[in-house]
Amino acid sequence: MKVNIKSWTAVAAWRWDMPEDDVCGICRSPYDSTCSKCKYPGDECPLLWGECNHCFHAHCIFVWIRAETSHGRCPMCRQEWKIVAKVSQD
Amino acid sequence: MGEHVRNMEQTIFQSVFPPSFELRPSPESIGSPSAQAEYMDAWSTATRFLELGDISLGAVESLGYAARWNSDRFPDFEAALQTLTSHGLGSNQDEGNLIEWYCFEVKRHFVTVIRPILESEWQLNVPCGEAFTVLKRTVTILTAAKDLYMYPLLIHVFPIMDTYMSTNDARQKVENRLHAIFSHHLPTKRIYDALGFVMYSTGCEVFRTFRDHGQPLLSDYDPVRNESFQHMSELVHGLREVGLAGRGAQVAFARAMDKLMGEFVIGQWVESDPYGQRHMTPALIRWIEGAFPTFMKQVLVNMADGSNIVSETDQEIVKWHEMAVARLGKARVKSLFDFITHLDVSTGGLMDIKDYIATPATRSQLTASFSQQLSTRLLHAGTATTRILDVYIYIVRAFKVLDPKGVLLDRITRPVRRYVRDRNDAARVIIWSLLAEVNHGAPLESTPTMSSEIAREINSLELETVAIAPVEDVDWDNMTWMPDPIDATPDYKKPASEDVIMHLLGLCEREVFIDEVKSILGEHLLRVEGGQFINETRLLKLFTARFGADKLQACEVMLKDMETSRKLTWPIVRTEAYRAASRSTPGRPRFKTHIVSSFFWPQLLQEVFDIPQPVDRLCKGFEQGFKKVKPNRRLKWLPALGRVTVELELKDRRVEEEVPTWNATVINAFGSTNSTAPVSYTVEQLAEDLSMKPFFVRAALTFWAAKNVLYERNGTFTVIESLNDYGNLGPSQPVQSVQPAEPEEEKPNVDTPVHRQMILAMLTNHGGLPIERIHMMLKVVLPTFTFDADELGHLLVTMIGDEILVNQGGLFSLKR
Repeated sequence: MKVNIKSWTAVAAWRWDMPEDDVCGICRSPYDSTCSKCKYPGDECPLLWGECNHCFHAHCIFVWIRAETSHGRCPMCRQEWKIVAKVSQD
Repeated sequence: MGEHVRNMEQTIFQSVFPPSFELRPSPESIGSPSAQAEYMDAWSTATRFLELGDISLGAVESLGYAARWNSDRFPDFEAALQTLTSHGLGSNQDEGNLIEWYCFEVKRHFVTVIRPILESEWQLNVPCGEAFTVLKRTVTILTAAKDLYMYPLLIHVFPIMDTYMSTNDARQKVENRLHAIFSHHLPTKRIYDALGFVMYSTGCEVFRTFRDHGQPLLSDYDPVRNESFQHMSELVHGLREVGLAGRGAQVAFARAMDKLMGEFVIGQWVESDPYGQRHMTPALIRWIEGAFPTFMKQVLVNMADGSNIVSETDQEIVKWHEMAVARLGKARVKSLFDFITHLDVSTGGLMDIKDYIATPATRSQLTASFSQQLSTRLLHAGTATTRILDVYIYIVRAFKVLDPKGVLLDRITRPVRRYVRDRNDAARVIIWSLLAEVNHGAPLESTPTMSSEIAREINSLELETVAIAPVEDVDWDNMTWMPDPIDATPDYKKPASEDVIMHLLGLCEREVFIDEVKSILGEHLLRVEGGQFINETRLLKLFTARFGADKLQACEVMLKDMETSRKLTWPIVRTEAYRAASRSTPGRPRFKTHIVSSFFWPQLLQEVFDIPQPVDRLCKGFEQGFKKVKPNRRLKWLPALGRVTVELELKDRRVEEEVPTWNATVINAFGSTNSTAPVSYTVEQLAEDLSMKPFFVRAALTFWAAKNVLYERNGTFTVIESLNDYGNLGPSQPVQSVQPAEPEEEKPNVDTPVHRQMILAMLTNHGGLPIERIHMMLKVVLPTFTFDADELGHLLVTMIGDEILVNQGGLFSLKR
């Protein structure tokens, strides 16, 4: 018997390259979820990494930085907030 | 005034203590002794003349009245009467009233001569069939008696008394006395009962309510032309002439008509049309306003000659109208459940009920009766959830017609809702049904997980109409606002939307629905291939309208994921990594990946095993491509999910199937490119080779064995390269019996070891099966099985006799 696989529909789950069960420090939602304002995760609600190595939902940290009281610092470590452009490993 | 009271007292006294027959005038009232003597002589002459003795009716008839009361017999009668009258015979209260005396004489005669004749007729209850004849005979006898009693008065007495009182008055008075005597000394209850029956049966005949008549009644039919009606009228008229058409007869008539109406409504129409195909109220009203009053009036006119009765009847018609509609409605409500479940044919019955429920009393009667029907016929453990939901849809549809305001629906569906909440699978069934694909034109059958009515309903629903209804109470500018209906319960909520689906979504708790929709949608989306997800989008829109968008974020993400995956696939397959993998894969299967947002999907099957090598390579290439396109993200493969189309090239045939990935992986292991020897594996071998749980391996092997691709012997599964070889594989193989039956066997025997073994194998796999299923399956797997269900039944009974099988309520299963 010859077996021809004519089509194969696979299923894969994506997640952010972050430790599991970790949450955004601002909205306290998991990274894999969305910020409080968004509906769809992924491209519509991306993550941002800071130079201090902290990571938030982009919308969460934007709102934070825009607030005057934040003085442009990371809410976790109080260092100045600077975005790191993360690139893929290869 | 005082005199009147005295008269009354006297009448009462006499009725209690009747004066003796020997009523004589008291001489004191007359005066002189000579006058007294003269008066007594005259009295004696007159009474002797009028005396009835014990003359029988027959004798009078044969001799003639004239012979009896020949004035030649008593030439001095006239003179005597003159004398008596001159002494005040005419005055009413006079003791020496000759007429009074005559009445007592009549009474005596009636009791002794006439009554015995009638008593023999009325002693026992009259059989229904003879009621008319007996009544008729009674009327004849009484008429003859009355003629007899009246004759001497009319011929001899009244003309002479004429100067003192008018003949008509006197005659009326005597007739009244006669009637009183008749009805007093006859068993009137029986007579009236018989009369009632005659009236009722005449009515039945006139209006053709007898069921075997069949022919429908014409509402403009004139009852007066009917022959039996004529007879009945004559009878009633005769009874009136002898004073038996009084109150008692009227009561009997009223009862008879009441019964007739019931018989007419229920017997003729309701029972002849149990599924309510005809809308009967208009025809009934035509009858009630046409033929029925004609009938009534005719009888009433014959019963009492007051013409005002006719105008009174006209006022009654409105009441009869109500009564008839109420009867029809009540009878119809009793079968409302049947109407609702056969809604396509029962619109007529439904309209009858709609005409009926115009008042609060009837509406609550409807609610009570229908709730009762629901609890006995639907809301019990024996009903499948899909059936309950189907009926629920019918109910909503029907009550939208019956009561557009929705108050009744609200009340009726409460018990259903309460009951459905206890059914754990209700939400699942609803959601699966909402997702079901409907092939237009093809009849849709309910399955244990899917209600066909819901599927039909959702598919007839326009997507655009699913709109979020504005909250009414807050909408101050709503010019079409209406107050709640008068009989609405305090927590009545106007249905936000009229459509059936919205009612359906009110059936279960919101949380239950949302949880179910999440898990089912996840399962469903991964199963369907491509497509536009129209049903899914619609479902989601519906739920959003009903439950609010925030609760359904996960579902929306799931749906979006399907679309995103499609978009993402394109850049990924163009990456170098994937291209390289694809180039090195033989056969180049169409490879596609659903990339799901793990956080939002329900718990997915995490089973891991070794997928076929080429596919694994493709996966790896795809994963690398994904990392290029979407940095900072990881992919985790879920090998147990997904669908595969495999094509099996066997020696004599090709088999193509769409199967789950694990199933495809198992059959792929049997594939070989070069050797002609069929490949064999045991479950354990495969489980180890593929690192797959034996459960999945076994499930897949069973699947392919059922498709005749593999066969099992001693736990080893082997490819069936050619179906012809398969026939010779050995006695344990079921399909071995494909061999033609031996030709010399004249009458094929159903009880063969092969059949027995097939049945045993079937029941081992399926547990209990009804005989129809066994028969059908045998016919499917054994082309030579040509026996009918009865013959199979004999075999099954034999096997029960051999203590191999048991029959439990129609299901055959193995004896343990």
